[in-house]
Amino acid sequence: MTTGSPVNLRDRPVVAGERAEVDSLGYEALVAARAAQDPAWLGALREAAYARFRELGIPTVRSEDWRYTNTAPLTRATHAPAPAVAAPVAEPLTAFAGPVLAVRLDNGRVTDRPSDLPEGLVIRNLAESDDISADLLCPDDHGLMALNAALLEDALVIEVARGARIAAPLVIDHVSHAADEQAVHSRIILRLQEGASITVFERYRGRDEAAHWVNPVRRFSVGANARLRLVTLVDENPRAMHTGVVALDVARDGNAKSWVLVDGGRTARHEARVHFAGPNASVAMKGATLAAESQNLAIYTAVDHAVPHCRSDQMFRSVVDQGGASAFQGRVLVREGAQKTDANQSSRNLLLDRNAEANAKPELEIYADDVKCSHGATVGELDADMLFYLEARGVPRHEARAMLVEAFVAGVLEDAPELADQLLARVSRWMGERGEKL
Amino acid sequence: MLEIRNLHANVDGRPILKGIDLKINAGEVHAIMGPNGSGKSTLSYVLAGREGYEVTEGEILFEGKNLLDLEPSERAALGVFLGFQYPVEIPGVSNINFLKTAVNAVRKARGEPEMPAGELLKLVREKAKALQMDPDMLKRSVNVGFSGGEKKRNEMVQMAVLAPRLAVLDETDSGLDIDALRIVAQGINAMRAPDRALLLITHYQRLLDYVEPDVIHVLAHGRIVKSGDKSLAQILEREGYAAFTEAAA
Repeated sequence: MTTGSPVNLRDRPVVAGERAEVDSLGYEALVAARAAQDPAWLGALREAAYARFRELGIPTVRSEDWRYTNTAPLTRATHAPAPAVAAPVAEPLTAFAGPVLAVRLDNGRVTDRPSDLPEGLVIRNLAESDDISADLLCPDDHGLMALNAALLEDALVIEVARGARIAAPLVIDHVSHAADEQAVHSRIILRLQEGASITVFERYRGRDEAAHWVNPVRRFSVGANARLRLVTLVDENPRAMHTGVVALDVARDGNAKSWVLVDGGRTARHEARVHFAGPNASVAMKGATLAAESQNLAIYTAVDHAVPHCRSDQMFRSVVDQGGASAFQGRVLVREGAQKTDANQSSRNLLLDRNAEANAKPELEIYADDVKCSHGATVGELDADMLFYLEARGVPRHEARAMLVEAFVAGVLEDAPELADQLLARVSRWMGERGEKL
Repeated sequence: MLEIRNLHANVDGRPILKGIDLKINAGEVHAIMGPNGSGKSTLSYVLAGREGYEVTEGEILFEGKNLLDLEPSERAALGVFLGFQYPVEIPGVSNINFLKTAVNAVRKARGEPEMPAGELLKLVREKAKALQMDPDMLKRSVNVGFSGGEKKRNEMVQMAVLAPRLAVLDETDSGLDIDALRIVAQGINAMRAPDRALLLITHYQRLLDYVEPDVIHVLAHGRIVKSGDKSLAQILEREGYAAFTEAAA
C-alpha cells in the first residue's frame, strides 16, 4: 500500500449529514464568472474544482474530521470572494533580528514582495505561473480546499533551488479586509528542491472585526534532504472564521519543523497534513491554542506514514479561559510496510475556568508491526501548589497565573529560541487581557 | 512584631487550630515543636494565607496590620516569608526568573523601583554561594530535579534574597543530612537581625542544636500547651511529646 503520491487520509465511513449540499449557495455562477477571466487551463481547473466542491460539499460537525468546528455560518450564507483593496501602509510584522524577505497578501492577493531575492529563491504570483495545476487541485482536497481552488484570486509560488539555503526568513503577512460574509481564499505553493532550506513565518490577521471567512491552502513539498521551518500565527479578528490547511509532502531524508499559535478568530480550525514520500524523513509539529470568550479553536493534524523509517513528533498545548473551547485532533496512519515508523503525539490542555472546554482526540491507525507509536493527552487546571508558592513569594495572583501559563506554552518552544520571545509575549498579552476581566 | 490572638482555623471543615496565642518580638527566634498532626503546618499556611485554611476566630497582627485581611502576595510584600516544608517544582520557570519576579513584585507593592538586573544577579549569586548552591541551578526550572537538600537550600536562597521581616520556616530541617543541615542552619543564623523575627516549625530538636531559639513552644491538639526557654527542647527530646499531648487532650 506504500505509494509515492499523496493518498487520501479521509477514508472514513460515510455518515449521514456529514456534508452540507452547496447548490443553493450560488457559487457556481461566481466560479463561472471568475473562470471567464482566466487563461483556459485555469478556467478549466476552476470548473473541475467547483465540481469537486459540489461533490464533497461543506463538511459539517457530523463529519469526524470536523466535529469540533461549527461550519454552520458557511452553509447558511454565500461567502463571495472579497474584492481587491489598495494595500494600506505595511506595518512591521515581526521582531526578527536581521534581514527578512517580506511578502504581503491583502485579501489573498500578493501585494508586496521583495524586489531583490537571494540566489536560488524564486517568488511568483498566479499570473506568472502556469505549471501549478497539480498543486491547485489535489485528490485529497476536502470540500473547502476545492472551493479555494475554484475561487482563489492569486497564488504565491515559492521555489527554492537545489542546494540553496535561504538565510533570511520569508515573512508572509496575510491581511484580510473582507466584510461580513465575504471570503478570502489565499494559496501558497512552496517547493523546496533537494538539499534546499528555508524558514517561513506567516501570520493571518484581519481588519475591521468583520465576520468574514479566511480559507487559506498551502501545499509545501520538501525535497530530498531539504529543510523547512514553518511558523504560522492564526491571529484573525474576533468575529472571523478560519479554516486553513497546510499540506506537507516530505521526500527521503527531508525534515520539516513547524510551530503554530492559534489565538484569533471566533471559529478557527488549523489543519496540518503530512505525507511521507520517502524514507528517513522527519517532521516535528508543535503548537499552542489560546481560546477564550466564545472562541472555538481547533488544531487538526493528519500524518500519513506511507513509507518506512520516518519519524513524526507532535506536541500541542491549549489554554482555555471562560467561555472558550479548544480541540486537538491528531490522526496518525501507519501504512502496511511502513516499518520502523516512529510517531509520537502529545496534547496537554489547561483550563483556566470551570466554564471552559478542551477536547483532545488522538487517533492512531497502525498497519505495520515493527513501529514505535505513542500518544498522550491530559486536561487539567493550574496547579494550586505552584500558584500558592509564587504568591507566597510576593507575586500577585494574576501575575502568578500568567507566569504558569507562559511556562506551560513555553514547553512547545524549547527548540525555537528565536521565536520564544515574541510568541510568549503574545501569551503574556493574552493573559493580561484575562487579568483585566477578573 | 507578630501577635496571634485566639486563632482558630478549620481545614475541610475540621477544626485544627483551637485557640493559639503567640507573641514574637523583633530580633527574636521562636521555635514551635509538636507531634505530627498537632497543627504546625496549618499554622504556617494560615500565616502565609493559603486558600482552604479557614480562620473561624481570632486574629493575626503583623506590625499592627491584620494579616487575615491580606492576600498571600500582600503578606509577602509586608515582609512575611514562608519556607516550605515541601518546596514546589515549577517546570518552565527558571530559578533566576522566579527570584527576579518575586523581588520586583515585592518592591512594586512597596512602591519601590525595580532592582536593576545586574544588581539582582549579583545579589542572587552571592546568596547562592553562601548556601553552597551550584550557580547552574539558578538557570534551571525552580526545584525541578533538585534533591531534597537542594530544595531546602533553595528556600534559604530565596529567603536571603527577599530579606523578609518575619520568616516562618516549616520543617526546614526535614529530609536533610547532617552536612546539609549545617549549611541550612548557617543560612538561618545569617538572617538573625534586630529588626527581624524567625519562627522555626519543627518536629525534632536537632535543628535547634544549630539555631538557638529564644523561646520554644509546644503545640498539641491545636493549642500551645507549654512555652519555655531552649532547655524545653532537651526535655522534649528526653521525654517525648506524650506528657504534653496527654495534658492537652
